[in-house]
Amino acid sequence: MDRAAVLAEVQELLVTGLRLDRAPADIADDSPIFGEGLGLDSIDALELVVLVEDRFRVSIPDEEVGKRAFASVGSLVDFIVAERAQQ
Amino acid sequence: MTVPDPYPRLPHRAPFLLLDRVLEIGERSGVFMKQVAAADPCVAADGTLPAAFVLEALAQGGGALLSALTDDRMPQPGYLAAVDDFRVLAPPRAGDTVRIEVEVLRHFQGATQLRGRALVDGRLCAEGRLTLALPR
Repeated sequence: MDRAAVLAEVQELLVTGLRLDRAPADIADDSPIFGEGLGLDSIDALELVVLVEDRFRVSIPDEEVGKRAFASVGSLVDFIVAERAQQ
Repeated sequence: MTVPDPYPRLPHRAPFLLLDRVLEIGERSGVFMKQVAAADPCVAADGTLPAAFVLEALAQGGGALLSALTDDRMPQPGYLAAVDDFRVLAPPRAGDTVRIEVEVLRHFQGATQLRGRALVDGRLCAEGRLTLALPR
């Protein structure tokens, strides 16, 4: 999957999976996922892990990996692209 | 793992402790039992256990399981943070013995997602996904 396609799918996953009240295209690549950016919390983090693992068939094995992957929408996209490239 | 009853594993006490016995504790799953008595203050006037209490029983099962798996000596408070796809097919009634089955699906950053099922006489009466948050 190319990066643009993954970004579009992540944007859609965030809106539908976490029931965000905004259009997928309004989620910028550099948006922080937690706190100020999309305003998600630790409960959303768990749900996001489950959604990302199920949708993209990647593994987020621990909080250290999760912290890096979930730093921003863009870092999540890059993580998925890198993981998929290794499969 | 043998656990005699859920009493020491949860901060709840009667009448709001909704689990009567621990039947099994596995590596990622647990089975508990609740007897629905006619005199139970949680039972509604029509003799059924309302959905909110079925859900609470599943959540307590999840909390008791997590406590058993972490071998906490003291019951720790936890919070039912999210419920997804919860449905009651047939509410348990006074006289029923409810089998509460919970299974850990995923754990991340102090929150745990579990699947919970409630069965009476082998028939599924309720199920759902629960997220429990444990304060650090």
